[in-house]
Amino acid sequence: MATLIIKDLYAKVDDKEILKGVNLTIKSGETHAIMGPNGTGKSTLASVIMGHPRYEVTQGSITLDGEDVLEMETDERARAGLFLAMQAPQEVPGVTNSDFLKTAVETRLEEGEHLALFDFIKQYDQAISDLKMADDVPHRYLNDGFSGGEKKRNEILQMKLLKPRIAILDEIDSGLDVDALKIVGDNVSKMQTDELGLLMITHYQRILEYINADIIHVMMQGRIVKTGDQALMKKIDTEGYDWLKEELGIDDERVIVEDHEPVFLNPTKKEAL
Amino acid sequence: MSDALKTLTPELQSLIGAVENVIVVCDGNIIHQQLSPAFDGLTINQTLIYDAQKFDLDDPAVAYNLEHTNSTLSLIVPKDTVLKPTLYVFVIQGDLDLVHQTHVHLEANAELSVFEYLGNTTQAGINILTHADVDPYATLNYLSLAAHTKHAAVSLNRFANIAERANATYTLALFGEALTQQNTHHIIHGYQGESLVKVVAFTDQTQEAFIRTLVEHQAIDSTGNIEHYGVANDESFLTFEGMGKILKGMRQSKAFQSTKGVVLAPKARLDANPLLVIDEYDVEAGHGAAVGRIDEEQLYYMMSRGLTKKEAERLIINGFLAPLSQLLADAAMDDHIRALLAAKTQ
Repeated sequence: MATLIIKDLYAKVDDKEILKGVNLTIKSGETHAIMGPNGTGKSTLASVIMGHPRYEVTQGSITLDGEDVLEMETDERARAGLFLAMQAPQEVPGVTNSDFLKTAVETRLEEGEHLALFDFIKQYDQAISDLKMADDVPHRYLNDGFSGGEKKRNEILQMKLLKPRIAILDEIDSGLDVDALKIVGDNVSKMQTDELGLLMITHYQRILEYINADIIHVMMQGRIVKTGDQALMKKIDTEGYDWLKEELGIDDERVIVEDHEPVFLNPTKKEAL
Repeated sequence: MSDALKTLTPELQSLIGAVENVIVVCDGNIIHQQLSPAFDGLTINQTLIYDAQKFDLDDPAVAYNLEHTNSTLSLIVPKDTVLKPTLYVFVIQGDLDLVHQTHVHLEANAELSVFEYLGNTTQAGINILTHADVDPYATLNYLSLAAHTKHAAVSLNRFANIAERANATYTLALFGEALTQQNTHHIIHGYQGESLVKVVAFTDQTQEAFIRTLVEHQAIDSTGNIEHYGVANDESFLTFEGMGKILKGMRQSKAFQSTKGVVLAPKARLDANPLLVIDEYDVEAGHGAAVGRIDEEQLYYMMSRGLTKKEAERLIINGFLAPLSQLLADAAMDDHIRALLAAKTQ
């Protein structure tokens, strides 16, 4: 059993406050989904839980089974059982997928314990075939030249081998076509056991047709503003978020505002062109 | 094992013991030689025959070497002789300040692959000059691993003359701890001659290394490639200077070079100065350099799977040095190289 507790969490990036009092508890066996429009702080929450160096926590706490997660380095969080399938997985040329994954599995071994290489290769090959990926994946460089869909599958592949206790999937559905979505959905569903606490972050309910979520949260203005069940998800699916903004008296739901003005809409710049 | 070998460090003894076809030169004496009959055609002696005018005598390190030589090795591969297995040459400093010359002569259409290991056993100045004549249609594959300790100050000067349709490929690894200066000068003087120089250097602590590679095109349709790979850790300072020089009239020559570097620590420094000097219009030439720190996002990604920062860095560095490790895919040396690199990422 694992329990991740997030209490009154505030975090900022480049002096801009993004998270403004997040409260969330995830236990093994539960699947949560955080929905919400763009720019409301969903991905920031995922990055803060994993310890991305750009984000600074200014208030609140995150604990895993009582242990202070915020005191841990990113790698310690991973070894403690946290996993984040990233929205935009990094490409690392020069490091093969298999070397990387083998090293990651090895970090979880006890002192003096050795990786059973044959078992590892068997599991790896099985996971590759489960996710319908190309046979040459182990020998290719980590995400290097992968399509968006391949990268997302590679995240799930890593999750299968690393067997986390709490996993966060940050927009795992973006960049996936219908077939790939089904493959990813099936694979994640198979991992939904009493051993795993799962948090899905998504714009759309599309992925939630493949992966059942028990608890639905809506995030706006850097905190969770509404929590419900499947009925909440269905209402968002059919009616969008406007009713909720009205109900809560929220004018602008965003905390991250893109301030890049398109060049062509600016008359002075247009003349300069 | 001969008694003379027993004076070497246990590490060197085991390295020498692990390879086939080996010559060990220590302080000027050939203290060990074990060659299969495949090398029967190879002439090995300690008499040097060369034209000193070919060398850059303005360089004080070269001038010093020519004046104070106390160790030599000459290898001559006769015409049409292809020596298939790799020949290992250990040039070891024992008690003296070592001033060594290796001369390699490949006669027409000959082929040789040499793996040169450079090491020291005591605190010393080390000056090594290697000179290769690669005659028409001959192919020289020259691999070198410099693994000097920080008690040495090392000067390496490497010359090669490349004739018509001959090919010289140099892969030079500097993985020691010593203050090191390396000059490599290839002259392609024959039509369609080819030169490839790869240098891989890894500096750490307060080490300094200066690496200069010059490929001079004195022939039409000649090809020269320079590849520099570097990693600088701690407070070390690594400099690469590469120059492709195409003389007037040497049309259709190709001169390319690239530098890739990673800086691992805030106080480490890595400079890259790529130069092209071209006095002819009808050529292809280019250079590129990419030097920077390890990407924070890559580190974060790898750490988010449980790898420590050191483990993530080591994987990235190993990948970075991959062009070399493929060439040094040598079971005997592999563990040794990994140990040298591991020591530098501690």
